[in-house]
Amino acid sequence: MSPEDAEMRDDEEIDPGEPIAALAKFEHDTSSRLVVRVRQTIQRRTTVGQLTTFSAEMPLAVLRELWVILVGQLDPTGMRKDPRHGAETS
Amino acid sequence: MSHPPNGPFEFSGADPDLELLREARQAPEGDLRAFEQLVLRYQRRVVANCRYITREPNNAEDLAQEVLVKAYFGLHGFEGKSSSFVDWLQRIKIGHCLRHVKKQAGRSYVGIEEADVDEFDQLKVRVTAETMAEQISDHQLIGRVLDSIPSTLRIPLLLCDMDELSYEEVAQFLGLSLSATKMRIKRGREVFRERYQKMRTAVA
Repeated sequence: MSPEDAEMRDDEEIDPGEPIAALAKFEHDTSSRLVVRVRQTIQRRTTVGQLTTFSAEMPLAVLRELWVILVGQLDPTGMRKDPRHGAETS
Repeated sequence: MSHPPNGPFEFSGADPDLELLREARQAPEGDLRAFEQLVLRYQRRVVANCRYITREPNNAEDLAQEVLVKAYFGLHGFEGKSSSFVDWLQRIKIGHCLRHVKKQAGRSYVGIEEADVDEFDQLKVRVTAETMAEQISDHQLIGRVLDSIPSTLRIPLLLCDMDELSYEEVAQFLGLSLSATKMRIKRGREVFRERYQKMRTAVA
């Protein structure tokens, strides 16, 4: 065994014993508000996410509906094709 | 940002959080009861870790909050095949705390290589009459000892002995070589034992 290997093996403690072992179970007191804060943050972010999705999709949906109305108005036969479904409507 | 989807989900059989995780993932949007049970189960560990890795008592709960929120929104990415929930949460927590430490230091790395272990004598906590007069619990004593150890040794020690990561994992997290990591942990344990004994004697 080389001196380096021996040194390396020496660095590895299988059971460091007390007081090091106490670290494995070490905990810290928390305020009772933490879980409430976590809940509120999750709810806030979820709401923001929904609003963002809505804001992004809304203009496209409005434009699509406007296009459908416009096509319907310009159709001289009074019959129009719904561009979304390809079905004819009166 | 959306609620974790109810996709296919496999857990390792030994995971004690299996049932709560399943409920958390299958709960309708806005129903956080199952996830809150997990928060209540692990919050004390998460706060302890954030508190002593960063050594910022005033910031520990904020960091823990960010970790737990991140875990909630990442639940869909957790497959549970190779690790338990607590291991997965631990990785989020360690990554978040280390990023915070780097950010606070205004550096692009944790200053783990800068340690000059020979200088630790100058950093040792001096036992004052005030400290001696105080009756502190073992828990507080451990906290004080941890606070007195410089980041270069404290962080590897915590990752190894508090989070129970392997030497390889600690080395990976800190971007150190395996031998350097082992050396830090060994030295960290020595310093911890030494200071603990000293403080214990002083308090007694």
